Amino acid sequence: MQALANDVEIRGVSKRIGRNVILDGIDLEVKQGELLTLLGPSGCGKTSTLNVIAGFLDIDQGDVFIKGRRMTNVPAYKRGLGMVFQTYSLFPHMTVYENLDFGLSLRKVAKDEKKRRIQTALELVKMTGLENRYPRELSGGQRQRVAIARALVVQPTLLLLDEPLSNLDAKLRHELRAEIKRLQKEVGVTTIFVTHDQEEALSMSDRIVVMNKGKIEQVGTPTEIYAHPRTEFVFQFIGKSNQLEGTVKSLDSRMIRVELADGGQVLVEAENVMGADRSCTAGDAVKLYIRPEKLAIQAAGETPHNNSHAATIVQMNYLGSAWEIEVSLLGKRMQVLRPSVEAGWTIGTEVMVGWNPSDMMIVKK
Amino acid sequence: MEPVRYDDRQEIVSLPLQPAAAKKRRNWKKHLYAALLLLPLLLFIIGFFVVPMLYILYLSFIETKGEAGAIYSIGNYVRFFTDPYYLHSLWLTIKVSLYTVIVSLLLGYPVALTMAKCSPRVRGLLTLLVASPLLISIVVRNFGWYLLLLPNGTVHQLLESLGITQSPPKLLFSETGVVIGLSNAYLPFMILSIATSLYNIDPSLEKAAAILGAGPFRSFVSITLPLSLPGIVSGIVLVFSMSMSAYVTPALMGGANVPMLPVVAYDQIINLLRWTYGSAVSYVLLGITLVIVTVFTRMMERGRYREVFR
Amino acid sequence: MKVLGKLRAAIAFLSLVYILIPLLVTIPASFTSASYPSFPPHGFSLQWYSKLLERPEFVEAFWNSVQFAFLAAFFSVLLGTLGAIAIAKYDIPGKSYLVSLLTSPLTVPQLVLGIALLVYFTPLLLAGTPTGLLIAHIVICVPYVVRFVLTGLSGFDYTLERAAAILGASPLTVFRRVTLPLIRPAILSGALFSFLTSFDNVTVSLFMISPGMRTLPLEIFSNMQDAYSPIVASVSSVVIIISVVLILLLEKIHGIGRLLGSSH
Repeated sequence: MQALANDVEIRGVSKRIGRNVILDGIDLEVKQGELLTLLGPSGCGKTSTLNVIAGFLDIDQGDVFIKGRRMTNVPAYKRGLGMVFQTYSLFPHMTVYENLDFGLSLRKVAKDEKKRRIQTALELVKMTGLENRYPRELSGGQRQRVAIARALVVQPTLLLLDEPLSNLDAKLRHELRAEIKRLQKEVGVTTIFVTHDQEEALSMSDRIVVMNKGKIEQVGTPTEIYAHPRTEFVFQFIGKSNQLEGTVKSLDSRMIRVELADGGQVLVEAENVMGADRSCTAGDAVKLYIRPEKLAIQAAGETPHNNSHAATIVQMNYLGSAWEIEVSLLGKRMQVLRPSVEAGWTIGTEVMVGWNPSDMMIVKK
Repeated sequence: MEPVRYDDRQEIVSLPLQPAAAKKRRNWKKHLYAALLLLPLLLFIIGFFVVPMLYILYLSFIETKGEAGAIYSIGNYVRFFTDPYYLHSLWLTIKVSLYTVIVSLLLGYPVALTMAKCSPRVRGLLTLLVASPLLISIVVRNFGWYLLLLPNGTVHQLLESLGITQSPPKLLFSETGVVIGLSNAYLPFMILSIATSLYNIDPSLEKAAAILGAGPFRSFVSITLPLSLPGIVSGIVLVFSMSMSAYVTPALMGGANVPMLPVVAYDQIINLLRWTYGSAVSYVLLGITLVIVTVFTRMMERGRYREVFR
Repeated sequence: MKVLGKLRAAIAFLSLVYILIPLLVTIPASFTSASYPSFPPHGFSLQWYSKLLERPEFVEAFWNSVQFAFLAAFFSVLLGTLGAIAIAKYDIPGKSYLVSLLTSPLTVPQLVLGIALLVYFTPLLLAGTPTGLLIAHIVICVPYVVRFVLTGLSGFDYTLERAAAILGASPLTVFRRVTLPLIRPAILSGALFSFLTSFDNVTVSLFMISPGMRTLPLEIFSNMQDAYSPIVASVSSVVIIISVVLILLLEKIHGIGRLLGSSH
């Protein structure tokens, strides 16, 4: 057996329930020690993938390998994994100590060793001193910490987290997000995290797997996913987007020239083509996407970028940390994100809006 | 009442105050409506339930009605607890009720488990099947057992044809027969009680147990069983209480051979016309049942799994 | 470990059969051509059904039971619904105690209730009269109606009534056109449940009858004790069929699981 850098390998996994395709040909590798996030809207198959790895969902086709071992016919309770659920799932009739003790007793760990491990685990999640409390006496955040400790105390091969923060309020979510990331690096356990919250995914993960309708859309680091999305779905799901439409006029290896519906022209970097075949030809009808913060807005008369166009301010929304300015540009409405506004700008002001060709994404219609 | 006053800008400056009298009149009317709706029912229950129950309680403390008037004492109760016949009857009733509880629990839990694990449609069907017999008269259900258990009945014929025995098995008119009849009658209550508490168990708890390494058996014993304890306890209490006070089934399935307390009480009242003593017997039955049930419930709620009852 | 699962399924199946078997054997047994009851039946004949019609005591008992059940259901629904509406709508002090009081007949064994009513009715000259029997049945049935209607009203949005009132509806109209339709399923279920409870009743009825008063279950009871014959099978089958029809109706309107789940 050669040493593997992948703790989990999923090959060609498919699953149907009745007429619904839950998973459609999933291929995935999880590297040792990394925090991988499965991200997508509800019904995309992220939780199902997790359940397949955990052993709670049988598959119709394909293979699952955990640390080189084939997992078909291996039931969940024999896989030696750790899991944290959305609803905490602490055993309500057991104290915190007994909850943590449960997995250790099943593995017939010696009493002293058990005590030591439980104490270490509680220290790790900052819950020392609460061993004799019952779950109903704990707050939501405390329960989730105990759940994490319980999963880690058995020293699992993998740590699986199924939307563990979705039931918590926003402030707690931010707090625990950082905690989980810190914990994961400290312990070093390979972790798979499922969420529908893209902010969570971007801030916590080493790599993100974006899923949609049972298929994988893209796998990459957070920067790759955000700045270089490979499909339309990924672009639209992560962060906000503005959209334009046009036809490809000409292209070379570096740049694509697109003519917009009302006559204006834009340049887009050739490598920013999204979609299955990542290419296009002259005459293709295309959609153009760009993020609000990548649009530069200046007073009329100045030219911020290559792609500059005249625009009119239609709406100005103050968000506290920035301004969201809606402009009318080339017949379309676009959102621009800017830290501040210039004096005198108001609804109706004429401005110039521009962007860098490398920041715009293009996809065939 | 003052009119509403507006100022120059046509905005309301003051509103007329509601006179206290008008408010009181409205409240009074509301109370009248409530009383009209509620009173018939309340009077009916008090008049035809509460008062009769108190009346026989009062009677139970009358020893005899002499010419001078009634003699009040606890004599009836003393009589009960010092007479071996009645004590035996009480003990028999408790024993049979305990057997009934055990049989109902052992047979009922698997059904409740099955109902908890299956799809909603199947669950609805099973609930219907389990609950329907409760709305069919007890005498009809007992008749079915007569068909099965009497000498030359189905069971006897079956055993004969299998060559096991010639003589009829003593099932009817014995304690066994009563336990069969009572457990058959009350099994649905046990099943529904346990099923309800099983439905309330968070499904991801069993998943959590499995991931931590617990196989199906261990998961059942450590997680499912303790968490279903409230349902088990209420099922036991229900079945026990009903068995203790059952009349028809012990009369039909046990007859003279199984003198359970309700049968004895019926005899006292209807045949022997000993109303004061019969009243005392009734309250002894109620009291003993209540004591046993309370002790049991307290024990469970303070025991090892007391968290489960919160 | 799969063995345990199979064992559970097997016991569950046997238990279900155990619950249903007395009902399942009765109907076929009623078609026997022999002169003694048995399962399986000997031959096939409808004689025990025609003989049923020739026995005035059974026919009379049947009609009596039906009438008592109707009346018991009617009065239980009347008293119980009005009372439940009052409790649900108005702020009555000690509400939970009141509800416990009104449903307490459910917690007292029918044996004790029978004794209490017999003793109580005698000086009132109600013992052994149809009125007395009816009252006893209502006492047993009304708590169910109260429970069902209270549950039916528990999610009720009273702003609906206020909206109707503002639009000009009198309290009676409000009741008729807003409240009543919403609790109709609960009332119907209460009526059906009461009917069945009264129709089936044995224990309390035993204390309330006098010679000459017959109800169907009591006829079956006495025949089982001293006149065991296949006619008991046919009359029992009649009871089973009627009950099953009403149970299915009840299931359609409300769902039996929900009813019994909430009453215990």
